[in-house]
Amino acid sequence: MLVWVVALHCEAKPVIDHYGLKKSASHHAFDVYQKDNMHCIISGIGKTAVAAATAWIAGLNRHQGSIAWINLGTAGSSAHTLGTILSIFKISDSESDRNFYPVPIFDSALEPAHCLTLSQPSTDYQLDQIYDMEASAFFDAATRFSSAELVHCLKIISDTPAQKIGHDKARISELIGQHIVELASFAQSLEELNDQVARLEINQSDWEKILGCAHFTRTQQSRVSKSLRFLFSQQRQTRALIAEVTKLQSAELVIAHLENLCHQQTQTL
Amino acid sequence: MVSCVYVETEIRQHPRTQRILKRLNNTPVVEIRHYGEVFNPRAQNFRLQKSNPALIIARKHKRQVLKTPKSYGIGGYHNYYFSHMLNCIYDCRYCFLQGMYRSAHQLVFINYEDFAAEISRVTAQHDGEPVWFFSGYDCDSLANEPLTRFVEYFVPVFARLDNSWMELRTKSTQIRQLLKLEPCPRVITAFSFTDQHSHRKLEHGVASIKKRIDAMQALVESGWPVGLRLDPIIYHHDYQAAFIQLLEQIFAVIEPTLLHSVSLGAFRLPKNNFKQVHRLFPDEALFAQNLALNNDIISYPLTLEQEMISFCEQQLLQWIPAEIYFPCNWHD
Ligand code: SF4
Repeated sequence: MLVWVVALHCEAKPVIDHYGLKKSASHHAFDVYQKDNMHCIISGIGKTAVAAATAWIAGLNRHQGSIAWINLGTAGSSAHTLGTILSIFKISDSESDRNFYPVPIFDSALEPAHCLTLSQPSTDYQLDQIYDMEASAFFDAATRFSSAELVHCLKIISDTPAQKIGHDKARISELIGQHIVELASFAQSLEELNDQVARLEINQSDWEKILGCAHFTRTQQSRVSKSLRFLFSQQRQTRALIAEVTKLQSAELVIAHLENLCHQQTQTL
Repeated sequence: MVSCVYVETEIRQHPRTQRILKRLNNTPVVEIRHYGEVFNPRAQNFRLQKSNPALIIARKHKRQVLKTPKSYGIGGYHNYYFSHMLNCIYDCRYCFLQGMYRSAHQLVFINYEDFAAEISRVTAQHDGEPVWFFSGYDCDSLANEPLTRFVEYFVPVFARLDNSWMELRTKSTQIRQLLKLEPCPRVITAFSFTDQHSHRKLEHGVASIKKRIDAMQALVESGWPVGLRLDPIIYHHDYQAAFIQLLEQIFAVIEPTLLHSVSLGAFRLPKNNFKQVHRLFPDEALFAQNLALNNDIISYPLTLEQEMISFCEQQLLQWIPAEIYFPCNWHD
């Protein structure tokens, strides 16, 4: 699944509209919009808010095989023109002096940038950095749940020394909305990457069925999981395999059967 | 190609850094304080990164030269390794680097002078006894030569040290720089091979067996000593026929008596590396094979391993003199 983490509703609006996301009635801690395998959470401004929102939605989706993340938002810069879209390769936190490095894993046409996350708004801009108020906390929180290759920050310049959008919500939506094609393309590549990880996981209900057929120790569970992950990846019929296994009456028999299937299957590498 | 270049601020202006950056001139450059900021964080997925790794340019401040593990060597008594690079441009599924590092980024240490000074110091410690230095422990020694110019710098270093030997271990065909240099009898280029079936299934991005044999022969013809590393031997239904075919293919071109050394060993990974790699590649047949734990090493069950090794040894010794054969005795 893909989660967009966005500080303000006006920043999220282009994404919500583009994907036709619907507001979830069952969530109250944060506004969440969702459809199929995509969520968009409105965190509020600042590091505390974004860290809380990220952790909260990760907890809500803990049964997902893998989660990919995009922090979308606006930023200030003295080196870019208004409306420029940037992909963040380096994040520095002004308070802790820590650096974070989202991994640029797939080819994207977006210009790379170094983002300094501030705790208080400032317009004292350096040339080689852009400025926001969430990226470092978002990245720090999201990488507790997903690997760094699946956690990205995309920023659109809304403030420069010459032009300030300030709190003009419509204008912010417009600046972000003009990049919806690039945003959607980035999101698609990220979802594909995430699917590579998620595909390797065992579906929760399949796992519960297998564990229900006998008593497995922790070590035995790990052996079953390894065999199953391999066999499922070899286009074996999942249903048929589960039916075969659940007929067996002890953990030892299940493990022997699965490992035997693996050994047969690996004779040709 | 790399997705991005991370450079330690301290060595951004170093001439070797500048030359590498010039070669990769359209690649985004990100300054970092220390390579560990990018290379070491926990939340990284080696498998995903390997599909499009970045390059990290850094300085290695200490421990440039280390003792090899006990079983690592080709007959020498004093064995060391040094790594100007961590990770590799190739993607062999059996490679222990996958379970060794969290990151798949290619890390190059550009302070070659510090490595050379340490190599000289260690050499001097051994009072004229032969000392071996292995350069392909954490990377492929030659694969990145156009970028690193490792050979160009280090071969002359070893040419000047009378009692030091260097092994360049490779699966590449990047021999152009060696061919430009005066052959040094104490620099051995050792080419690794697995059989054709294992190569096709497991050695992603590696040059064909034929191309590597041709590169080996080109070095032999120019007077460079070469070695042969038949490691790892991988089990599959047809490994015996495939191994015989590999030997025939190699020795149809290479004169066995001209080889400096030959080694052979079955597929094996330290237990903890195996755990990591298996977690990353649950879909990989190699790791779902019948394997066993022995002395903290995961390899084939002992009887199968012995059967494989004795078969391969028997075949190999029909081609080469026993004096140049060095089995990988990891059980010792
Ligand atoms: S060539 Fe060597 S170092 Fe490179 S991936 Fe293969 S085994 Fe690993």
